[in-house]
Amino acid sequence: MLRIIYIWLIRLHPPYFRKRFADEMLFIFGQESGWLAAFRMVADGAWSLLRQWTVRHEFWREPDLKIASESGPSFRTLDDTELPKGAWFKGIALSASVFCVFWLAIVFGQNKIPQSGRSIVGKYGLAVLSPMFDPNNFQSGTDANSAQSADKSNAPVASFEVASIKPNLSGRGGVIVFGNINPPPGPIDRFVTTSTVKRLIEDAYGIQDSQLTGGPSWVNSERYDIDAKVPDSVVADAIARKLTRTQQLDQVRLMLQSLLADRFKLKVSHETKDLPVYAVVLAKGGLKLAPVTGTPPAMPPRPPGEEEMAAFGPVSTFTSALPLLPEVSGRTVIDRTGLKGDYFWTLHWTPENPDLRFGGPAGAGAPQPGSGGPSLFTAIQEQLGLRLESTKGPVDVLVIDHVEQPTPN
Amino acid sequence: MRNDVDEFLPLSPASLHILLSLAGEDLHGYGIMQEVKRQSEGKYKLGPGTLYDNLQKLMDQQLVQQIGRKSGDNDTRRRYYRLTSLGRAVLAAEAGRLEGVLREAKLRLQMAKPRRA
Repeated sequence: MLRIIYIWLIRLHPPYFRKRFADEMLFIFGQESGWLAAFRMVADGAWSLLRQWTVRHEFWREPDLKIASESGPSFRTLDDTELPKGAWFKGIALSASVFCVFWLAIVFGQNKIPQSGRSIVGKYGLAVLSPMFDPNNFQSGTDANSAQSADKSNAPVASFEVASIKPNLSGRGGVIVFGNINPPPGPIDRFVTTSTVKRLIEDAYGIQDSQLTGGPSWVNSERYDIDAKVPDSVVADAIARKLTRTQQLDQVRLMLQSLLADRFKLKVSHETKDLPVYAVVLAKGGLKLAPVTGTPPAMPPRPPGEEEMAAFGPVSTFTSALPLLPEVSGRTVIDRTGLKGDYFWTLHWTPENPDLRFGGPAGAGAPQPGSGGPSLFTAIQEQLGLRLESTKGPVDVLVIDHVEQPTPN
Repeated sequence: MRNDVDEFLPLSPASLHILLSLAGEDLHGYGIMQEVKRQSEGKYKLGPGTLYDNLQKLMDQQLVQQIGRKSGDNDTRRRYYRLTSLGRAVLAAEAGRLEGVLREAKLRLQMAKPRRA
């Protein structure tokens, strides 16, 4: 009975006093035996109650945390009070709620993040030219309308797990393959190429030939075999987050920038120049592109003597591939179609000069001139429903400030 | 923090006994009560309400600090208290003050003694 009275007396104390000392007071009450001792404690508790509410008003509430006027961190030591059981459940429920909110925000918000400043990076595709083209193998290539948009900070944020770089003395190569050669949606797990450093830079920064200047002559002549592995964690993350191939390519390009900076000691800067460009516009006959639905369309056999292009992706896929063709002469190609979404880009045309075809001099099986097919410009209009318009415009140019030959490994 | 120990003097009997009990070692609340009882040979009994009221005040004055639990003591209800350096200085000053009071008292009591003719 006295214990119950004592408990109630303690409960009636000011909250801050109760919080600090109630457990200890009850502990002490339990240590004493005999009704006389218990009675004394009850009397002491009553006196304490009166004292706390009358003359100890400064201790009624927990003092506010005082921040020192001097700059610097401040610390507060928490009591080692054992939490009530209900607090654990409340804490778990609150944590779970916060986790769910963030998880939902990430899951449903990842495709709604504005991509300003990086609108070009991440929308890549590759034109693969015949006779190397396999209609089941869609590979990626460069995008390039703005060197500045491709890289503003000159500070890559990701790296390959491991990369082998060796000089290529065979004089062959040219096609850059981003990731595996499986058709989409296979995850990109490797970057393999035999290429010049100039071409590597163009691909890493998403620019075209005319947008890159400076650097020693060897960047345009010496080829390197590069085999780089995308970190497993990045691949797993791409699978888990169901990243599109475009988004994965975005990551790989950043890794390539990192590789160039690390192994080739590449340093670049930006300039703006007024250069001749081609603008891709809608032709009068209407659009003839097939939207990407997950399965590549059947590829008709390539007519003898004709070149062939096949790729998938947004318009930038096409505009980035065109400057590689001799007919376009390395001009920047800009998109003025206003088209959104991904399309299949399949094209046949008769090259003006097969000896200048992509990938080196023509060999056996290469297209022959004058086979009667349409020119590139005509083919684009007839087969894609688009048109190349010659114009001039300011083009962001990437300048190679410094580059070194890498140490082979 | 107030550094002038004279501002804390004189100490109340409860505060004095609490500081004195903590001068030897860190103690929990019940340990302080037992030590006070021992020091006063059972003549001064400190109740929990009085103890914690004074501890609260002494902690606010930074004469005593709470140090949580002691290693080896598994009772979660017990918290230990420690005398701060300021508390020790105040205790020493109070002891000096009491010493002067005692000396004066002895002197006065001797003077008041009746002398034999």
